[in-house]
Amino acid sequence: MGAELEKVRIVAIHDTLDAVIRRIAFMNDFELITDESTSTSGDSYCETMISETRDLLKKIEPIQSYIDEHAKDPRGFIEGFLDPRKSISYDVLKQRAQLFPIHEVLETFTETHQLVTSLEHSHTTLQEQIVTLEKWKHFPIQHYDDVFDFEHFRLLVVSVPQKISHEFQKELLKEQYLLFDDFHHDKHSVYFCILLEKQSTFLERISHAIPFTYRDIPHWEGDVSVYLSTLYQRLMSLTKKLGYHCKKLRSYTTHKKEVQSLHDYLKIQETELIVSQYAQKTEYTTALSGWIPRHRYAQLQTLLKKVAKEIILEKVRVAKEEKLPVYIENKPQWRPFEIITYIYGAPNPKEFDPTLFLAPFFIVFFGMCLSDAGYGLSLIVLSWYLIKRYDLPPGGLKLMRLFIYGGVATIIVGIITGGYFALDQSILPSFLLRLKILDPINDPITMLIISLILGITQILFGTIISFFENIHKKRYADAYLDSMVWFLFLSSIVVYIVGSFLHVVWIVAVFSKVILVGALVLILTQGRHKKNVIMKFFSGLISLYKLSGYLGDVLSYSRLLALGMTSAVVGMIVNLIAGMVKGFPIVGVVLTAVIFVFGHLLNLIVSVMGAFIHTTRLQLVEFFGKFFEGGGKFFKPFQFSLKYHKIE
Amino acid sequence: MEIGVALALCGAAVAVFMACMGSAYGIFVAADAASGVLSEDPEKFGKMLILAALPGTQGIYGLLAGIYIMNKIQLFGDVLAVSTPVGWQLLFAALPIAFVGLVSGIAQGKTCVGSIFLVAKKPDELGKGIILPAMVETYAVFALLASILMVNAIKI
Repeated sequence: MGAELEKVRIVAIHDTLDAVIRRIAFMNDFELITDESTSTSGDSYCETMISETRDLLKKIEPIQSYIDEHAKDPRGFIEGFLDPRKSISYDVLKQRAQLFPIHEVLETFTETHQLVTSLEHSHTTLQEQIVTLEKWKHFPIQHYDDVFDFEHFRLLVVSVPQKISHEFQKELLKEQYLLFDDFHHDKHSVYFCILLEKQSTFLERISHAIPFTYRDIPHWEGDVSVYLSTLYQRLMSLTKKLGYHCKKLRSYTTHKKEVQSLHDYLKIQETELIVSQYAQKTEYTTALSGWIPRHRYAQLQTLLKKVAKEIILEKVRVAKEEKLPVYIENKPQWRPFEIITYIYGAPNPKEFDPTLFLAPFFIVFFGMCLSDAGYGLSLIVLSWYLIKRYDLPPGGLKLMRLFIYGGVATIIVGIITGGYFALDQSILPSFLLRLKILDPINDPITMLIISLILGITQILFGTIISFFENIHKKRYADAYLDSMVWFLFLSSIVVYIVGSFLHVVWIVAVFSKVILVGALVLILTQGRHKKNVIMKFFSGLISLYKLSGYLGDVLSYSRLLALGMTSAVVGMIVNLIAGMVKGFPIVGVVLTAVIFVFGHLLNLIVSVMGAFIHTTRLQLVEFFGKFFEGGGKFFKPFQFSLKYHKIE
Repeated sequence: MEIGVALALCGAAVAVFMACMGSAYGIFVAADAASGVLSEDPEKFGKMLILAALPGTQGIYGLLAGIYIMNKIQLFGDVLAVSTPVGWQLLFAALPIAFVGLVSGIAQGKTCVGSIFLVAKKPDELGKGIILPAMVETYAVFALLASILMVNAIKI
């Protein structure tokens, strides 16, 4: 049921508190109690220090994010899934952080950064200007502002889609005293027109027939092409300047280690201050409360003695209504199955740890869903490789071990069903064929019945567990009148079905009576929580409806057959396609091998995912639903949450 | 012209494709909501995975019914000479799981979205979040049962 937890209190002198907090974090087995009600009211010193630390963290953010972006460590595909933090000792971290002249570096960095930003902005604006002016290169009127000065004339620029520019020209030609020409072509033709004031309405008139758009004239000085070339020159010198300063900025990435260490060091400071806020303080001492597994108490004592002699560690009595956190601890070989328990949530402190109960079922079901000896072997090899080659986090390690267990079960099921990379029967050696007892493809009904039988087994087992849970929680009425009654009722139905299937007459006769008695008992007992007799009776009657729930649960286990079949069939299709290309000249064999490997790899990945998800679902929905109450809180050891480092 | 086998296959096909459509859509809406929750709190992945996978049952039941029909006409060995009336019978027998699989798959998907929001706010209530969509599944179970009982009873 997990480790017994001890509630403890640590009393330390103020200036040793930081060291104590670091030791607790290093231990990784101490849960800090941060209940607001135990803290003393607003420690102004703490608060100012916290806001100072947070201000500094904010100040270093620009250089930190610049370095994050431009000095990334190259990471392989698989490394992308792993924890990127580097191990470091606290003293090295502190030294790096404290020796770094952050304020000077920050000053010059901010200067350069701002310069680069404004240069980049000017660069972009200039580029946009050039792009616009390029279109006006052939505009024939220089010093056009002079033209605007005329009283009776106006200068307009319009653009017309290329297709109708001919029509547009024809319309313009109809007008007298109208000067026009086109000076730019791409998708549109752009025309300038010089016309008399009183002719302005002419364009409005033809706008119905011909869709044109007015264009604004951009600003330049003097001759367009001359102006453009000065712009180009300006752009060149700006680009050179920008390159130079960008290089300068990039040199700041050499400070990566120091900046990242500073960030994490400040984070540690911040956490220490926040924790001391939760602590109870007197004039000279601070007290911290927390939970620790009983077998680690001695270790904590030694650890604290190393910090200072005067630190007191004492056990605290737990109040009756107090909610303990739940510390799940199993023998190493069962730990991989804790993944499933963690997904569902913590059992409440009075319940059993369900990890051991689900383990055998999980393995068998996983094997049945994957059901190919070749895949099982590949899974074991891949998981083993990942464990050896990469530094996996504890969760990842558990998952790989789970896959190894699953792989073994898969090999066994694969041998029984004759699946070896879904290869055809004729290729297999005869001793393997003799081991093949079941054939899911050609005889799915047998596999279906086996899946359902396994389902019934797990559900009945769940009922038994609920019986023992109720006894453990001293709910004797519930144990006998709910768990035991349902267990007997369901078992008798199972016996009856088996009996009628095997045509054993006496079982059919006897158990049909047993079932009727069972139903009667249910009607009488299931409504016992209701107030009056009529409600009791009806509740009991309605409780028989739960039978359909159990039926649904049993049928849910048919997915074991379905998943096993689909992975086998997809494998067969991969082999079929690989066989088809064998005839190609020269590349045929290579192509076959490629299709075989990648096809089965893909099928392996998809089938493993499906096997994991559906097997887990069967445990959590159909199995846990029978006995698991939950509502507990997992033990959460106190840890610093750093971005770049792990303290060792 | 004897189209019995064609009708029987039609039955198997309809059971499979309609139920799988229901599951696919159901899982789509549930997984969509799950991604939203995970964008705020990636720690909940395991719980979200379970809830998003719940609407998958209807597809499995449809496949099962389809396989049962295929097995009945011995499709994988020497196909039985199924007469036209029997073919119609098999087609009709497939209809319960086909339609119910489609509709309940979609419905269960939407119920799972509600559960996902429940678990997002209250991660400790995963149990309750699972039971609610499971109630929708009961009707797919009844439909599967009806289909299988019918197919079982049909005499080729």
